[in-house]
Amino acid sequence: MKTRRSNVLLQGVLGLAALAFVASPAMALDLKGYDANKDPGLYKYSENFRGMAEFPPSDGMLEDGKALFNKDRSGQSCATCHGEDGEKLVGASTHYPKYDEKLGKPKLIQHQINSCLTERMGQEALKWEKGEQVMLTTYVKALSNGMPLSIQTDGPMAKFIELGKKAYDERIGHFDIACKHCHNTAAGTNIRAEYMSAPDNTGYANLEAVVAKLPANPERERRLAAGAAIGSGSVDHWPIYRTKWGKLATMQRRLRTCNKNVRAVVHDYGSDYYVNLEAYLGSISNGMEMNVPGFRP
Amino acid sequence: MDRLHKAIPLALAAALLAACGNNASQDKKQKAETKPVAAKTEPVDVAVLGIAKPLTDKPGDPVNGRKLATSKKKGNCLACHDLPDVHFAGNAGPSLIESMQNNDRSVGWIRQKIVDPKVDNPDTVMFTFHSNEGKKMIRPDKVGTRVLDAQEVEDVIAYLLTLREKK
Ligand code: HEC
Ligand code: HEC
Repeated sequence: MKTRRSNVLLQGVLGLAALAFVASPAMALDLKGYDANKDPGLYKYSENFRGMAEFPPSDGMLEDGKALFNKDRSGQSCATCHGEDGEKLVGASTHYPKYDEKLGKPKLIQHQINSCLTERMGQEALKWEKGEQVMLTTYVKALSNGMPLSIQTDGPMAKFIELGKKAYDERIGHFDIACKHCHNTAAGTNIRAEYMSAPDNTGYANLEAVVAKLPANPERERRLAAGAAIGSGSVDHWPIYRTKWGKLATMQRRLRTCNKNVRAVVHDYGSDYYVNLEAYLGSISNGMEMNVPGFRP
Repeated sequence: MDRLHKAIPLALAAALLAACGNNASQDKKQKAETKPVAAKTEPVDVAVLGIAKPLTDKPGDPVNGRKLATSKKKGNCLACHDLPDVHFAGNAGPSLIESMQNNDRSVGWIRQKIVDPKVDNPDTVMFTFHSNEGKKMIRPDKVGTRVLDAQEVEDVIAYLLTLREKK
């Protein structure tokens, strides 16, 4: 693991339980943190930002997530069913969003965590996008770091991925513009200060060759070419730590922000609309290695 | 310049081909600039000629037009277009400095572009600034409003035309 930094923000929230677990010497699992060198989406950012990504502020947060995973909740913890530190969940998150037979539709890790809590542990559901949910989701996703994203695209999932794609392609909001316009048509250009790239795996398969062809400078030229040639992926590196937001955030928050920015209706966290979108985004990032929590400006 | 080909999804590529008969992997700016304005031999196409009649009786105010074009809350044209004396303009759309100085788009065509750019290019990245026709899922606080109202459209056009005069 990388150098761990003390995390002022979280220590207060997590309190003694967290500290006790962080201090525990036994490491059952070799948990990999975010690896900037494996994040193709970073090529469109400045040298300076990519340097920061080597030691992002999220370093150490996985330990906090682990503590929440192992935390005692009326006699049980996540580890009661999923093994010490969640060792039985390694690889599980590569399949999310995942079809749920009982619901008859796909669910997010957040939904799964909530149903474990409410149905098996007699606990309250976690509040959407609050610290504990984001942290646990990040931890469970990070258990699969280095493994290829492999969301089911056939069988019962086909229909929902199709719905997600439909939402992705549809003009919405007061600005009347679809995800695909900003993220595909405009990939490789600048919308204000943002270098747009597609949330797919364009260029990932032969990344070295693509990177070797990027112009070295001027920097603007290099970034635009990187945006055009290398998809940034999405589900593989989310949740992320975004410097602008100053904390970890899930894909659900990103999607709501993109909606809000084009002055479109914002749906609830975890609503079918966003689950389907996330399933579609996952399907076009399939094959990329999980690399959580990602880092974005 | 070493321009890398980017993978455009097939459907999109097909749409682009159909829309302008250009090579889909071509530079976006090129595509925008070389797209034909109503060629003389073609039948008159109202959509391409644009909206000749001003939306209001009051002449556009170029000073207010510049404010609108460069303000984040209103036109925010500079999010995608270069304009004189602005910082960090985007380039998802062509430079409006060059565009205004170097081509002969009619005022009606420009008006159409701002009112509803989809008429000229169904796959455009540009926002629909005035027409609300067919818009879906508008944020509740914006329902019943326009991004730019009629006078604001005229003001922005008046500002763009000042760029043209510099030629
Ligand atoms: C008006 C432009 C615009 C529209 C429309 C838009 N977005 Fe975004 N989106 C952005 C910007 C700007 C960013 C931040 C820069 C980036 O990562 O490319 C972003 C980031 C993202 C990211 C994170 C990419 C990464 O590298 O981690 C995802 C995923 C995403 N958007 C999905 C969507 C989806 C799905 C929609 C439609 C519901 C959508 N966007 C609509 C502008 C837009
Ligand atoms: C989100 C991106 C975006 C924004 C915001 C935007 N545009 Fe555009 N604009 C484009 C793109 C892309 C084109 C290229 C042609 C096309 O695809 O429609 C364009 C083309 C144009 C053209 C035609 C240029 C030519 O000669 O071909 C004009 C005029 C124009 N825009 C004016 C404006 C004005 C005025 C505003 C603000 C009120 C504005 N645009 C805001 C993306 C944008």
